[in-house]
Amino acid sequence: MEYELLVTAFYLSALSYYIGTLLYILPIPFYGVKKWAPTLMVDGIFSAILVFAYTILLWLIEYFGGLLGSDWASFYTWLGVKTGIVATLMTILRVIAASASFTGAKVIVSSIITPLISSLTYVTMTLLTIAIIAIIITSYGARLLALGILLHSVPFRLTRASGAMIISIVMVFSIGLPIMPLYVELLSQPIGMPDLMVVDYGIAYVKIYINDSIGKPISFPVFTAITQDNRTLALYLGGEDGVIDASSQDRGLPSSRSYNVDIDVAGIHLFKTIDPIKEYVGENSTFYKLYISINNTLQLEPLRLIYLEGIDIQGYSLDSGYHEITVYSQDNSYFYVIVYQQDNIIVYIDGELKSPLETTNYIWYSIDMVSFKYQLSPGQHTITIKLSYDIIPTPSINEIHYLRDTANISLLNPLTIINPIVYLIFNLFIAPLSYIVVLVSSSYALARLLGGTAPSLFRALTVGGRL
Amino acid sequence: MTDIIGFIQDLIINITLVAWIMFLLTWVVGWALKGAPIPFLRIKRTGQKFIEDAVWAAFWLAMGTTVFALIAYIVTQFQQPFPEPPTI
Repeated sequence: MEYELLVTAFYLSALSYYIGTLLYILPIPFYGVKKWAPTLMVDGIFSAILVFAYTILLWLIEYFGGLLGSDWASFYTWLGVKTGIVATLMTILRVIAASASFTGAKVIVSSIITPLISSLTYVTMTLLTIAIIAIIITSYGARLLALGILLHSVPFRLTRASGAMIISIVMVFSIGLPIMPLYVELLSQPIGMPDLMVVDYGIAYVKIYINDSIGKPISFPVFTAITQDNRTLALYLGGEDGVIDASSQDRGLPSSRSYNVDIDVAGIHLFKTIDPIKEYVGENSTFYKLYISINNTLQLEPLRLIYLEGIDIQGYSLDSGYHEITVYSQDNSYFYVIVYQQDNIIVYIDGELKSPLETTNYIWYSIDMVSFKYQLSPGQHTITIKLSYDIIPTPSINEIHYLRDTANISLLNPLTIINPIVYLIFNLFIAPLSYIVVLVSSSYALARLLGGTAPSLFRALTVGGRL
Repeated sequence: MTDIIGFIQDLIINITLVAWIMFLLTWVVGWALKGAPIPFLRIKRTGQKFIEDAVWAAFWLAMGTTVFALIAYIVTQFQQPFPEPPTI
């Protein structure tokens, strides 16, 4: 394809040249016609030089690109990462808007979130347009160059300007476009990138249901979400019904990356890694449920639990204040009965009153707790517990809300949302566009040099005209 | 594309032929004007100009093939060859 274009271009330039000589030779005294003669001859020669310089032009692109450090692969990676950030942020804004339910939320959503989402749409459009230009330049650059030369060599300068423009755009963009990330990052450096952790981890509104080994809810679980590198993302306290509501405004949990959790119930810890994609059960794309069971644990009453080490629970019943648990122990193993310090508790093993091996008093989130340790011999046993209590204490916890405290995004404090987006608008809209303007103006200058308009490189070199 | 190239080649050959005929014509007209027994210098100068133009144009016409061959030769010294220069 390129070859045929170039051959055509070559014969067109020869045609220009010979038409020039014919006009030169004509026995007519009209200066208007005759002045075309040298122009056509010079144009023909210049176009022919361009035809033969086709591979040199391609080599020049490669050479200058290499000199300036153009790398299409890293350019595409940069573009992909940035588009991903914008897309995630749009999803986050949509999720935040969908969950805003407090008084006056509608006003804030329509006055802040909606314009921000539409400005991010422009950012995405810019990035995708740049991507399309890049794809055209990388896949059709050589062909466009040949087409430019063909247009450049059409006699009487009919398409010379557009040909020169195509040649120079292909050359300038091939060399300059891959360097855009460097320019953009350099330009954005003084501003300082806002912490966009929420972009990395995403946001989902989740209700977490914590159950014990037999599927009963466990009251007052303390749920801590931690990143893989030990940064606390969120700290929530569940209710008496064992449900942790992370689905209200300012709360939320990560949605796109795995994170670790520590579930603490009266000192019993469960460490777990949560993969949001696999483990969140979707109600819709905004609200999710997450079910977690703590094995080896049984809740008798709120904040009164049994923790069994290596013991299988085979049955459980509650009959007139007596909790009866049938268990099977493989080896000599232990179990712990954890209660509030003011409770009265009597433990029978196989109908026999037992006193604990060890008693440990501790404070769990300002509640005085006590743990009794018992031993079980191998085999099947029945543990009967008589428990009487007056109050259900509530742990006092300073919750850390994922959106408000960790991601630092809150609808009630609009600047926290506007700031990162303003950064993105500058970083991914204004800076790239200014760079494109630089490229277009250099293309225009190069096109002038190649003869897009009257003063041309060849004329300057041959006739000595001013550029 | 081949048709277009053939068409342009034909066009070049025809133009060259016409140009040579025109050279003869211009040469004749030029000398006729220059040597005309009339006292108008302006017309005589025009005749002189015709002859000069015709000679230069004939020179460039004859050199056409050489010019393009030279371009092809010089430019391809840097890179691999592309189309052959036209033969007329």
